[in-house]
Amino acid sequence: MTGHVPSHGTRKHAVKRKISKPLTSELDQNVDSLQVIFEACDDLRLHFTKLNSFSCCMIYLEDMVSREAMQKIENGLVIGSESITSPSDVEKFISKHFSYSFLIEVSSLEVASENILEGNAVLLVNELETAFVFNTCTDFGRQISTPETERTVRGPKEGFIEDLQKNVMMIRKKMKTPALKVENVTIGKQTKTKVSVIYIHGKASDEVVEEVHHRLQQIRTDGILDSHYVESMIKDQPRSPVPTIYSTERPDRVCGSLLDGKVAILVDGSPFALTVPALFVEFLHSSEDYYDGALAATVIRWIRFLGLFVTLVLPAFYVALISFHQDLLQSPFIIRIAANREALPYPALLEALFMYLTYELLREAGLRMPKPFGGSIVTILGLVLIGQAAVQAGIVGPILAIVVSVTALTSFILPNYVFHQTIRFSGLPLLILAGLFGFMGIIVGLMFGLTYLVSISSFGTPYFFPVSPARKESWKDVFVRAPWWAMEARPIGFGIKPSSETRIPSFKKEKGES
Amino acid sequence: MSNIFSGKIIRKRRFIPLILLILLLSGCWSSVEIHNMAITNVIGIDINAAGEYEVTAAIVRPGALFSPAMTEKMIDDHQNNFIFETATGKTISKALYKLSNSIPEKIYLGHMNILLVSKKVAQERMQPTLDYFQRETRFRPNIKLIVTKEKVSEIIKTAPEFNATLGLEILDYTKVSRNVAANVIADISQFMKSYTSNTSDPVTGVLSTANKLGLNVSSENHPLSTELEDKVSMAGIGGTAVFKHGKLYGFLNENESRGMLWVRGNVKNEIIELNCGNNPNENVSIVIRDTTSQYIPDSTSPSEKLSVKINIKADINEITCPNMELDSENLEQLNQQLEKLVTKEVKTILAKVQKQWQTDVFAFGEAIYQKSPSRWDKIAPNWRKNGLKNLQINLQVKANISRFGLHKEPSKPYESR
Repeated sequence: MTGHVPSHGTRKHAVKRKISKPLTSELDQNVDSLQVIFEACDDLRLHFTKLNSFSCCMIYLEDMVSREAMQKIENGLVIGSESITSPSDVEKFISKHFSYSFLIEVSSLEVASENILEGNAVLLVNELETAFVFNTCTDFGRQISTPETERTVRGPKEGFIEDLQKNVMMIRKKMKTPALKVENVTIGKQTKTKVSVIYIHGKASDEVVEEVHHRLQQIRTDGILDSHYVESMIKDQPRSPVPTIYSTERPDRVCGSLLDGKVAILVDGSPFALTVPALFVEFLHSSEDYYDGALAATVIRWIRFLGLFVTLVLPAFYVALISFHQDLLQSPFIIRIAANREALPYPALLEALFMYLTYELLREAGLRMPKPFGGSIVTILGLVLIGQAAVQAGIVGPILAIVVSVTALTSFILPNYVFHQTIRFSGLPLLILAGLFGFMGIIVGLMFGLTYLVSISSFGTPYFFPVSPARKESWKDVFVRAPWWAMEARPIGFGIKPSSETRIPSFKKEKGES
Repeated sequence: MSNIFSGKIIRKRRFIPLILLILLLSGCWSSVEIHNMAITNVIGIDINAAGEYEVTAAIVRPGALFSPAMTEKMIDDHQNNFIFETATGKTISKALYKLSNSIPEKIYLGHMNILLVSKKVAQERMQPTLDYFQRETRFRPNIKLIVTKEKVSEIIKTAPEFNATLGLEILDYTKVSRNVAANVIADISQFMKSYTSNTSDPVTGVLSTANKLGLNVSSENHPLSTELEDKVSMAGIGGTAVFKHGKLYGFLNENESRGMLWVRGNVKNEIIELNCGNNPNENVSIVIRDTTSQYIPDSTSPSEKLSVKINIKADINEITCPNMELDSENLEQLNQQLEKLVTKEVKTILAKVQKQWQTDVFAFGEAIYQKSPSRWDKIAPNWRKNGLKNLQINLQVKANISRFGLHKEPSKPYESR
């Protein structure tokens, strides 16, 4: 929360609306102005009808509305419209007959056009200076399915989809409390993307919520097409390669974060929700951890720590070992390596870089490859085949081929995709340092990395939080995953107030709650 | 977005090429490709007729030893796994330097396991020889130092049978061999510790070929190897080399080594045959599980009287007497027999090493020093002249045979239903 003084009330005006041309009482004039706004939009439909004696016009974007809903509204407008005698009756009639599908009454052209763009139908009535907006949005979009990037064996199987409303619904369904606040903001000059800030009142720190709103307000952009746009524009260190905002596809994960007092940011059109503040250790946790037994989860967590380390330093370690620190090897092993490397033309560092590059090329090709060509299988198969061929051709030593393959596989232990990318690419500078300076280079590289990680923060919480600054109470969800009954009231972060209520039913006596 | 190109950032970016320069100009300084090193596990040191050092190294040819993976080339069975090089020089480093000259790679000493020293070197030039190995940074401090009575350059040519290299093979002797003398082998750092200390004298193992140890070693009758029959030879550890005043003083044979190790409390896994009757062919063989010893200098005159307590734990592992009953009486009798045997062996070795040679391989001096440092400083100059000789040793041996394996009494015909 650098340099920002939170002020009350700013949040309510988060979306600046230009107070533009008001609607006039002349129907033709209103329709004309809207037609000017929507010039050359052939999908705009103008539907002139009559409400008793008042001529009116239903305006909507043909492809955005649900035909069923339109039909119902049009039928409803015909039946019972005889009672309308004066302009003021129109409003009474509509709010009486369309209590569900009638949304709001608007008085400005801009707002009316915004509603049309959202897929609603706008009814303009002659002699009235307001327009009526009907909800006719279609439900169309992807079905809720399992999250592709964060699969688990146990636990809920649903993942977020592109529809913001459904995503919010998924969270609401899990947390039936009015304390769950959903605050909407619209960002993007052209896309007008709806962004929801979700938190639990009383658990999340007001300062963090305030800060999130403050940062969202600062965004000046044409369009938001994915939550990453928002992420990169509100993160603490804009140039940092390290993710300081957690992104997830899983509603259960978001709910867990909300219960910890974090703030979630959902972006319309993106199945990835963001949660802040994010801690380093969080990126090593998988949702699965919380659905497994405490022992299994703890062991797996340690394996993940190992995986992180292996991904970072294994190639660098190997290169440093065989080009600087041969003394540390076992005698039979060094003879074997020497035998295998006897006829190799390039130094170990170049070999490692070559294999690294090959792997990255294959990986990218596998990802971009159309599915009929084989997709991700090609990556693994290619790596094995090319690795073997390279060894046979005498370009690369066999042990190095093993090292790079192991590293490539191990990197997928890291559960978060963004984090996985960062760690994977951090291995490269370490490799070069190792090739130039041996273990000294690795140690110095790791030291710089660690210093950097400890120095940064995410929305006021130090990035390395429960480890540095050390808070022993929180370690039960860092180095081990304590059983749920032992996890009550764990303080989650610096600057976030510890949750006052126990978050799970506990064996112990409930503390004095009203 | 425009602020990326503002002056501040650009100034920061100017350092990136500088950092790159630092990285690249340093080059891969001190990096050595693994295949450019001539790995050697054993170095032998001898003195030739001209009085110069004669250094022999067994250099591994990795490609011959382990055929490189996935290469099409067939490895010839008769290809040499090792190259043996001998070079001479006034100093060891000069000899090693000459050695490096004759092979295209650099000699790599980081993986040296065994330093083999000839009898002559041990007798005449121990101190100057060890100087190089202590000073040079490329050596590990845990190189085993072994003395050999035979010609060093010959013994190094022994082909390893169970390990990749001879160095590893000899190293295994020191670790897993059941041979009792293997326990006396010292590495360079241990050796130097007692070498420089005035409270004890160093000892180390003696390496000889199996033929000399009285073992018969042969390999399977492979038709090809008939011409190589003489080459099938194994090296083995036998005996102890005892030093005095920093020079090799004498050798102890297997039995004497055992006697010395009883006192030092180092005997393990040794097999001892005891009688169980009058028939000399009927024996009980026991295996020594553990030995501990304790030196207790007399409280009034620590430099004149010292009691040695030896505690032996043993198991029975073979009984060839048909009518032996393992009752406490018989066990006690075996214990006494073992105690007597140990006492006899210890007395023999004490007579030889303590009285005759006057070398303190048992580190009695250390015990006296720990008891009374001021007293030790007084007697230290005369310790190896008459001090050690006049030390009265009060021997207390206690044996305890406890376990007897999977069955108790020997099986007899018709003893069960």
